[in-house]
Amino acid sequence: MKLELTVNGKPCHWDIEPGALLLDVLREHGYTSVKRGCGEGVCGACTVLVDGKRQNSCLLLAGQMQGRTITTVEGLGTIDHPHPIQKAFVAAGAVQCGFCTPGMVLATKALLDETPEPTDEEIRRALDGNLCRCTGYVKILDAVHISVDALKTGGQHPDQAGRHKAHQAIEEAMDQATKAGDTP
Amino acid sequence: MLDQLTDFLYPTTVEEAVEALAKAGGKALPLAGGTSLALSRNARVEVLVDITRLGLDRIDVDSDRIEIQCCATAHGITRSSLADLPEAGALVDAAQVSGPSGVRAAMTMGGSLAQCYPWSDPPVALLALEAKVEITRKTKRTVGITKLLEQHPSKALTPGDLITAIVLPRSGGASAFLKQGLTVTDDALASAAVSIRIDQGQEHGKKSTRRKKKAEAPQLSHLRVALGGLRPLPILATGLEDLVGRPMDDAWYETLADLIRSQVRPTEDARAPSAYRRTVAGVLAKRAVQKAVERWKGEPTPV
Amino acid sequence: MTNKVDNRQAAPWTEDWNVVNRPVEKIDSLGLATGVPAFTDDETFKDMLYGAILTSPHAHARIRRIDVSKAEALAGVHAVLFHGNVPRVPHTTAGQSYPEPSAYDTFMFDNKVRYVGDRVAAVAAETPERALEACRLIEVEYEELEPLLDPRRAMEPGAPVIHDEPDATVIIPMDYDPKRNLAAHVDFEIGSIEQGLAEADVHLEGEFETQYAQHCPIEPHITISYLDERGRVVIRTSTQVPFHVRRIVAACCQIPVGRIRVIKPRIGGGFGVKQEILLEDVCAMLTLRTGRPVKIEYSRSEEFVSSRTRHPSIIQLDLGLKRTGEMTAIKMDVLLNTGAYGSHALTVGSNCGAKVLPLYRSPNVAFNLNGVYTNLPVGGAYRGYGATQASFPMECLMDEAAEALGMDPIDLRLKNHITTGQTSDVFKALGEGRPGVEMIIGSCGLDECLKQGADAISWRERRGKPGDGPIRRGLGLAALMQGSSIPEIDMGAAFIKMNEDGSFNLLVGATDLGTGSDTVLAQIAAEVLTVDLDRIVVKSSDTDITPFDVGAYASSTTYLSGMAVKKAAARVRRQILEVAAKMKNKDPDDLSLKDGAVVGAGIEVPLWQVGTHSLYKEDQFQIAATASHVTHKSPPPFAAHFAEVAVDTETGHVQVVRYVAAVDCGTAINPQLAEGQTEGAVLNGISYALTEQYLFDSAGRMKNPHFRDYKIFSTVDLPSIETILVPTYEPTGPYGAKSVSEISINGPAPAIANAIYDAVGVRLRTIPFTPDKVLAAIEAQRKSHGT
Repeated sequence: MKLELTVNGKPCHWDIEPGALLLDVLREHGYTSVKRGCGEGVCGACTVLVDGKRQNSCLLLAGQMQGRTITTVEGLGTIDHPHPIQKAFVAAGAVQCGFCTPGMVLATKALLDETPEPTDEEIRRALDGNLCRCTGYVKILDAVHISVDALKTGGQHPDQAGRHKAHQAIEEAMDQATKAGDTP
Repeated sequence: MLDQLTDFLYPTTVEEAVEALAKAGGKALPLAGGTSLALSRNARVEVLVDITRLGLDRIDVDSDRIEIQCCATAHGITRSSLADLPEAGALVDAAQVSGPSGVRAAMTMGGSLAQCYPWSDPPVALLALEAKVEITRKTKRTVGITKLLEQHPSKALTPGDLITAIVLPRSGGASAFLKQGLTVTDDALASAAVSIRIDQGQEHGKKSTRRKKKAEAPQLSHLRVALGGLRPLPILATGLEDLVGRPMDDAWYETLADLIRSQVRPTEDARAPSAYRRTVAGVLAKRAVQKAVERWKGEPTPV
Repeated sequence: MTNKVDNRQAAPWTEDWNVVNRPVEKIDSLGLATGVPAFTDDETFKDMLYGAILTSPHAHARIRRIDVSKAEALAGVHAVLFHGNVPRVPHTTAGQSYPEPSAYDTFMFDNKVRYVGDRVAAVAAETPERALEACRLIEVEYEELEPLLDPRRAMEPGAPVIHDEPDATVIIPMDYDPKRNLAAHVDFEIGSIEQGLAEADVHLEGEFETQYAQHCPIEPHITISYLDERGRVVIRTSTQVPFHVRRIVAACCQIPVGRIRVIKPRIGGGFGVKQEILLEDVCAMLTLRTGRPVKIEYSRSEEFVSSRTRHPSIIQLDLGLKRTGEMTAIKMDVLLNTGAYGSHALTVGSNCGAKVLPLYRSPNVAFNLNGVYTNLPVGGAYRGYGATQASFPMECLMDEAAEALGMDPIDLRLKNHITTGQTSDVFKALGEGRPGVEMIIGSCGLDECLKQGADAISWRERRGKPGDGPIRRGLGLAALMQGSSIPEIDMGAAFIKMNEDGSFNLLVGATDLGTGSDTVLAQIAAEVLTVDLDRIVVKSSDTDITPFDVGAYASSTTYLSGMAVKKAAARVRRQILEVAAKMKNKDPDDLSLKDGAVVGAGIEVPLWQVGTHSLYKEDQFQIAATASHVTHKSPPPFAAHFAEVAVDTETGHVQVVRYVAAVDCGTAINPQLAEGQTEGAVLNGISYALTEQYLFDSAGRMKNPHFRDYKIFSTVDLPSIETILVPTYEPTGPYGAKSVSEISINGPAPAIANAIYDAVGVRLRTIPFTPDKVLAAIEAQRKSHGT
């Protein structure tokens, strides 16, 4: 079937199998930053933005994208002109193997577009669909805090103020939760 | 791969959608978030009717009803005005932990109810909240959630039926949902959703009266408990009538937990023994009531 | 309460350094964050075929008949491999140095299957769907055999024999008795345990169990192979051990090593599971048969079932102590379940002892390992490598010992732990398939780790105060050691050449699997050559291009390969000085490098002038050097881990609230990366302790091979993790560095177990501490106390 959509600002007209998964179709068309980690919607390595909202491309049929606008991490920035969120991930040391990173960056983008100054709790919830086995997430949360600051100052990276904010916020939340007898 | 799939339809009105579904009979499926279809390897489906362009993703709170349209997502629920409404707390709680964030972004309320997997959290909350489910064919009909969940909803829905909205009556009370898994967003080993109304002869909602209420032991005028993660479908707890109108002291909560424990017979789950899940169902029901009471009092409730 | 420690604070001895011990950005991170094609599957190959592997549905069966004709006849199918049409070469899939200390008990395909998920046949076809369809068309007649699913039964007379084939063997002298399902055995006794226990005032003992767990790299195994323009096989693969891949594939496919090139692109995580040759031999064979590029990748469930796991263990531990806290005896008896094949059985088992027993001084130490076959998934290398399994009983029993003696657990460790200038007979007694190497500890910051960690978690104020109500709080700790490389076995090499602009190419066989080793090695080269990090262009792990390295395992890269880089850079520095001396008619011994220039004797020559001169002006030659490094020690990093938990006494749920990891890794070449290694290892260790496990049905089939029901932690499950880097200087490491990557996965299980005890007074001896298990323990205790 014919599929018309916009990927990273570029209009695309693709001929696809009706049952094809968006993940496969994107990778076949060269958008290889979209990764397959589990194929069952849990790890989030295949995250893309669909009309600005995060989605797992391994659970979507490409046919659902008719007329939609997709952003992959390639569309966010490049090595020469990285997006402030991408710079924040580098500065925070949030990239180890890097396989989960495109999905993490896009999940952060979707969050900050919707909630420019999220609480730590909101950050943790927004990223709970992106699994990382390398970092223990500590520096990924730092990266989101740095991103918030950087986006507020128009893409500048004043310092690594995001560092430690995450620790503090998690501790407070945990203290509160466990005191209230409301562990998940 | 959906081997037999040949066609995608993109209706823009409900009429077009239900007509397309009716026309294709059992060979067509409505598709919204698609959290399970792509993995289902459903070999029968030939036509998919994309219902995400019908404009059915609103959540409206009126004085007498809350209407949640079918394509409202779990993520959308958590960001809607329901998040500030004590009586809708159970649904917001459930939406917040219904799988990882990528799934919550896609999962729609209509889809969650139509598919109703053993691990689906929103239907448990909807059962506690006495939701009414609006099903559109050529005409609309409304089915109570209790009735709908007597069997799997797919059996109550015939080809061509579309869940278009879920309506919650305004209760003026409070509700809460809790689940136990191995991680926060894990499939429930057990879950409980409760809806309560508190009777102290006082108007609900004013800050000043709430503060007064805090000091006194409240009594319930309404208690409804739904349990999830235990059986293929959510179950409604029964025999709780005697708890209504009695002071909610420690013994009250232990009685509730015991009543829950004594009536659930969990199906096998390799992840934990049935006895454990039965015990925890009681604890969760008890704590969900506590959480709902705090919510009603206007206490901050950590989630 | 916030992170009070600034690990960016330089240690005093690092003052003169510019790049090492500085938190420079990881050199590949911007590319990865912007999604550049970097991983195995990010490149496409013309006319590529897709491979699929048919696996066994039975735990133990003989293949009586196999008919591949229907599969071969299917349109689009280009090759079908099974035991009848490939060479039968006994080998091990373990990517270890030759001669490997793992049994040669594996064949590309065999006429017997030994676990659910074992290889039966493989197909290459035009599409992935066609390849799977062809697998379904392969007719296999199995004669089911009695499966052996209980490791405790493995050596009993009459137990099913899993490796009854005559050609299973070992190629080093080691105890191997497949007829008794014994894949590996080691034992020793230093002093006399009997006497040690007789002298003891308290005797603690217990049996502990650790479970199957998987590494869960977010990128599952993937290999693409193709023929180059000269007909050589190129293998592009997600591996930690490219040079071992080349050697083992050469053996399995019976082609010379020189006919194979292995390329390691960026790797989406390994943690040990990619120290194994799992897809490469089949993929290469399919390319050889078809002449076409072939790709094989594991699905997530294949990754769980058919790749490698952490060896489960049953460990009986005995400790004897004097009333004063002195230790008189340590006896460890390990039953290691290696699953269907003996990959890493001897070495993981040996490291249960080698990385745990020397931590505490005792005149009497005994160790016994039986690594046994079962018809279950196969064990392999996994971050921690035996130390994870054995730290659990050791650190739990130390906690019990402290209680029995009325001592603070910190004080008991301070009294007994090995430290600088001391040795342990265990180092000598336990090697990796051969006797170990004597070693005197050259650096140990464990005292400081214990002190700083205790302060950070408020140990003395908060411990022993569980509170009341349904949620109880508790604190627990674990002390740890690991190693740095395998002495006198591991070798790493580096090659550096200088360009005319004063930049350098650094070629290393060392394998960056996401750890940041490319960055760390570049930092070392930049420090020696006094240039900025961006002047070092790193290329790692291409067997045609880079020098040899054993690969990324055994906590070796920074310590071992880092030293090779430092030596090579020093040789290049010498050549630079000589060229500059000649240019300016000076004595090279009067010259040195400073800030990217040759200085001294009144001259200053920028590096680009030296580079240009050497390549274009006179007596032209390539400034370049190679260096190799073998170590004679495996200096342990040390750590003290502290966990604070909240235990729900009504649901059994254990929430880790705070976690403090104080780590002595010598000099952290890159503190940010060292923190990242620690944080990642800690969180992996926490979910291993709390949720991760394989569930099997009665036929040995894994019931939860998905992320849906094998739960690893996400951001909402994350506790506060604080890393404290305690700097020491290891004299034998590059710039004083030791390893950091593995040690911190060993702490969470015992630290959490001890914290649970502090909170609710129950001792758990089986991991994971799932809520049902914890609640059952709490209820059993209530009953026994009659409350």
